[in-house]
Amino acid sequence: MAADMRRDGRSAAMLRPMACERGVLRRADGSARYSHDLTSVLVAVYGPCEVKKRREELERATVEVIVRPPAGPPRAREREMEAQLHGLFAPLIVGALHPRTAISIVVQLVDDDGSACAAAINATAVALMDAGVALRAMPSAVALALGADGDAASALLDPCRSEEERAAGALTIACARAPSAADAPPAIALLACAGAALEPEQLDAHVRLAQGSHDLICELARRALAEGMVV
Amino acid sequence: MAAGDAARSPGEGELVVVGPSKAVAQEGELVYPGDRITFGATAPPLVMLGAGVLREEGHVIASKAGILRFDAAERRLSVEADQRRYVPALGEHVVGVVVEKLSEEYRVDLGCSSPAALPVLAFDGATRRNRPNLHVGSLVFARVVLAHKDMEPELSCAAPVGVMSKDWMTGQSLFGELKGGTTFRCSLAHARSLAADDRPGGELLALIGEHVPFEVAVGANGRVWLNAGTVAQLVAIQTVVSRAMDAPAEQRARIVADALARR
Repeated sequence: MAADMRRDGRSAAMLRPMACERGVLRRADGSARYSHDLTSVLVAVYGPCEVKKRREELERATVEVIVRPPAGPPRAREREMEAQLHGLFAPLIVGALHPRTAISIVVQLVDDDGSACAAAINATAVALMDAGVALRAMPSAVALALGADGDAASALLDPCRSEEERAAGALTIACARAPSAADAPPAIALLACAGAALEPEQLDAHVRLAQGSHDLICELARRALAEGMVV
Repeated sequence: MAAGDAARSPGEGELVVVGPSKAVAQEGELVYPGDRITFGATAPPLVMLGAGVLREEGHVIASKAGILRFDAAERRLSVEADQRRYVPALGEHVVGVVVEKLSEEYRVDLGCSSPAALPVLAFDGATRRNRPNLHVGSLVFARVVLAHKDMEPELSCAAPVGVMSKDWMTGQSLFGELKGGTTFRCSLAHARSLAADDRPGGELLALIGEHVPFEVAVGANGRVWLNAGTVAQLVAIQTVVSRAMDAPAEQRARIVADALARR
């Protein structure tokens, strides 16, 4: 085994095999199942539907996110994930089209073998598109496990759970492309870093790694959405 | 691009989608959120932005995953998404359920974000003393006469201008209460194709009609009401409609004939 090979045979900057399926739930307005190998996430989207009076916003749709862990009640980690998903998707959704309504996103983590937040973001994007909710751009997300020195060369892309546990820190980066920059690398839509301090150049190198996976993940989403589209 | 040009050749390579594939898209191709839509190399013509298309940073982009449509006559650009949640649009015909009865109006559930109002006098020939009496749970076939994002939708069962109106008492009016029969839900795209005779899928109801006489009301909100002579026929028709909608167009005639030939 080569020295830079990971336990599952990947190199440091390789994604796991991913799968995506849309419209998996009959009663939701939109739904998607997304898996990064053993990590699997199921997302249901409802809306625009009726909103609770106290959460009503006069100018835009209220975006609600609920994240459920594979087992047991939601804990701090799920709450943090809710906040990250809300922060990413609330500006991406064109909420002004449906004022005084709710768009609710329910994320069920089915199996967590690392990179759960990235998988949840990718699944939510497909579920929202399946529901026909207007979006400004198509986002994608990947997780990175940081090495002890914080160099991008020692970072592991799309880490599994054991790699996440051994890492010095974790980074989740979501990208989306602005319409004026069709040829440029995608812009950062979400950056969540925990555990390690990075120099600005080191962060740049990590972001470039994430940007490199954007088109691949979006292509998978496109293929899943094209499946069974009624023409 | 002149207006005459567009009328001659809507989407003959003139509509360009700048997505990741950077392909020149024909009208009727799939686009995804964030894909830029332009009109070739010529100066941007005047177009109306319909559903699923928006202006962002000076560019026209798709905001939904769906099929790009360009109506050359109206110069309207839109993206038709395969969605299940209904958002009311002016003039659409809908099948709703009465959920509340007030002194001046009925509140009708269409499956959208807020119930719609159906004034008690919005029936042809209805007066204060002589008007239809709907109950909670009644089904109505109506058209949307007010659809605005900031207001609750309003319905009417009166015939629109240009359509001969029949008094509600005769039981022959186009809109009104749907008595008997059964309803089922389908996706909005399926409902659209069922209701449109000129598009694939529109011939399905006519095909069924060759075998069994039946009544149908297709709501743009994804609710379909059916009525037939016997319950057995009703069940058979509903099964056929849901099965044939998912089947390829060329198999539909055979599916219908197989299921209904003996009835």
